[in-house]
Amino acid sequence: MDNIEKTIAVINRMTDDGVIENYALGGATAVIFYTEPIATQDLDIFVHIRAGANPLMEFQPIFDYLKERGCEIKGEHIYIEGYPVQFLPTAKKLIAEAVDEANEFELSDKIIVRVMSPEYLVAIMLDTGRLKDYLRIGVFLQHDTVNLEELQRILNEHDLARKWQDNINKFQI
Amino acid sequence: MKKEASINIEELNERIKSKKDAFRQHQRDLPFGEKMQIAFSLAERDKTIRRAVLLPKKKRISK
Repeated sequence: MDNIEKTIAVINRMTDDGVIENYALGGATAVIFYTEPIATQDLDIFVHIRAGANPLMEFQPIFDYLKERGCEIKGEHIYIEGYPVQFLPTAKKLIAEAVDEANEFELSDKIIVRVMSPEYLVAIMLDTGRLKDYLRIGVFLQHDTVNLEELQRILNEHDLARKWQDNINKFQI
Repeated sequence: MKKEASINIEELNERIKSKKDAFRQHQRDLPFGEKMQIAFSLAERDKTIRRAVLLPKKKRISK
């Protein structure tokens, strides 16, 4: 088993053990999954925390669980099987929906990984709106991985259609 | 002569583009773990470049 698969296996076990409700890979990590490698310093894991968890300490159960299993915390990252992982909340409706609707893929060794869909990733990048997000949208469009009808539905639902139109020239390579 | 040269340049550009596309496709088809290794290396490279370009050079202390 590759190290990244071991990392994903630990995260899947956290779901089985009830530490997190659900998760999905997002950010650059998810972009890499669908396209070619781009620079990233960590794995971005968006997680639904258990209902009723204290919002001020929402990640504490995750850190406790992983520390008990020998994972080391350095700065904003926790190292799982050698990979720096950053856990991120699903505070916005768009992100929560992206986690719920994530695609599931089977890596080798029957490890299932949940990855945000290209359409949700593009919508989130548009919403975030940094230069690097726009460049990544360009990469996605170039690879023809985005279902434009589904993207339009998401943009309309989350009031992002206007922002898309206003910035469309920045995505075209 | 000029026309011949421009045709050669066009051919060359086409070949470079096709090589680039093939390379990108190859990278896209790599297993996820390998892609992530490359992604971390790219981040390291960017960090090194940023440090080299942005950080002021240390003043030499003469003894």
